Amino acid sequence: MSVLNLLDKIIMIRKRGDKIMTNKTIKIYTLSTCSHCKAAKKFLNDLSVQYDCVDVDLLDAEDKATALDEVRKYNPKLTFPTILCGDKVIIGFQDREIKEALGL
Amino acid sequence: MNEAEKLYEMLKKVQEPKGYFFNKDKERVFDLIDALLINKNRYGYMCCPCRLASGDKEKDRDIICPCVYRVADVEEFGSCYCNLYVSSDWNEGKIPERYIPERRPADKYL
Repeated sequence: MSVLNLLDKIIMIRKRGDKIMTNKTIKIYTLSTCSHCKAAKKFLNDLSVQYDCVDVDLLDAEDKATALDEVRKYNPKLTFPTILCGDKVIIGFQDREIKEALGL
Repeated sequence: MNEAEKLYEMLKKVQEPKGYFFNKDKERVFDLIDALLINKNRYGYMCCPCRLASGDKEKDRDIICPCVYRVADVEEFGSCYCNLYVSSDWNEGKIPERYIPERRPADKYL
């Protein structure tokens, strides 16, 4: 499929108000206060893709420790946002990398 | 003036003469100032909003805003990690906006 056809398809899906279908599982670890995390969430919302989000700073101590163990596996520097997009790990809000990982 | 506006004015007065300017994106700046006030309320100190606070002021001393990494980040990238404080060149578009890598050593989070 050409890029233009793909864009047409995305626009068509958006006009119908549906979520963009992606076979990638997206999970994003964020801090509720972080500007880059907010920008990343807005970017995903604007793309209308579905994702799971964990605001790590709002978790209680036990859940926070579990979440940090998960983040550490993908990003030993424990920075936010840490974005899991299929088998890709994107550290920080990097819009081009997110789009590439989604095949957009 | 509300609390965020007062903090903005106070910080601007102190930081600009040192060469650290607020990002020209005022909405983002106030979002970050609100986040600093949330952290002040939550932890008792204005920890960097873009980093995970431990809740222990001594351990977090290097990331209390303005963080100790700001000097090197503004010098190298024209912006601090959060894009709150930037250089005048960054605000004038003379330095490309890019992702600022975390300079804080990972072991500080453990």
